[in-house]
Amino acid sequence: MLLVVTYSRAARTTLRNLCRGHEEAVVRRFGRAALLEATGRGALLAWRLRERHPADVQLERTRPLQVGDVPADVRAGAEAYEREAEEYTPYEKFAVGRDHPAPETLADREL
Amino acid sequence: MSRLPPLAVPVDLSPAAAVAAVRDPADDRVCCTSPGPAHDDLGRLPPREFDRRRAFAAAARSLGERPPNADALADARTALASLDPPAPGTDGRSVTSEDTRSIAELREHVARLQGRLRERRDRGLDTEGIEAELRAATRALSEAETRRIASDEAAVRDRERNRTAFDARERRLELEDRVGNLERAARAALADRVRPAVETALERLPCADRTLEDAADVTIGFAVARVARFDAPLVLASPGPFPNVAAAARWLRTDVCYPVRS
Repeated sequence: MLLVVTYSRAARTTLRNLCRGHEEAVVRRFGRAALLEATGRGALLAWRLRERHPADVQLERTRPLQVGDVPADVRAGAEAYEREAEEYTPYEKFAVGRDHPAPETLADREL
Repeated sequence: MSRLPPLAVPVDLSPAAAVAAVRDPADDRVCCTSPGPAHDDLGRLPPREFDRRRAFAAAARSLGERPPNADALADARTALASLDPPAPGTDGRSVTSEDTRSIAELREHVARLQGRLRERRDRGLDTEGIEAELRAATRALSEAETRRIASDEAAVRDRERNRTAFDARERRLELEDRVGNLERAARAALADRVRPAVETALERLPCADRTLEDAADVTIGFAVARVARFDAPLVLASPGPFPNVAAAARWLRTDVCYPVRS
């Protein structure tokens, strides 16, 4: 999908108007941001916004995160942390001495 | 000394041209002083677009009223005007899967050549050709890796720069919203100050609907204009509820010009 984030009142207003006029291409709207479908018509809207407000629009391409995208040990670490960790224990501390990936190694692993 | 009755002067212009001529001090098709704060919203009657709150607020400003949040609004506007956030780059670089793939292929190619080289050495065969091939492949791999590292670093730099630019723009947007909210509050406060006077003026109009609830925008426009103070002639495109422009000008208590072209 295409993520569009606006950074000025004018750009936000344009986004709102475009989304209202082209609901079929809008997956989700959030205040000053929107997810557009990854099609030619979604791209046309995104590019029109960028053309009108070049410096006030951030465009990113996203896709749904699925189970297979996340390495099994990362999933296991996250699940264990959410289920077992005490309320104020940071993940860094939690992972020590357990068989979960260390935070400093996670930064360098690409999905 | 009695005050002179208001003038009602015909101008050989269309209403739009007359409005433009009044607003532009350099335009001598209508000679007058610069219009004050009432002219943007009330300079033409009947109004073409009419936002009640804006019109009420403009009338209050023309009477010298200041909103209670004027200082906060001025400060916020100054702060906003002083911002000049950097622009983000538009071509976000990122590592393409193509780069990754070609490096993997080059690595495999080097490994294959090393295998063949060992094999030929073991069998006592000539290795000159394969050694040259291996040198070339190793060099190509090292160049690709260097390019990859450089492009990774550039992507990180781009991301940092964009983050800084978008953070600054986000702060500016917050300030824009603050100015917008203060402006809205200022209009509301100013509008409240003239509302009673507008209601009184409405009751004195020679027409049927004379309350804010019932009256049409055109009627309210005349009532607000009577309350406002004008520094330059009002453009009267039609006398509205009055029999003629002279009567309208008298009631409005201000000089008017009336366009005779359509």
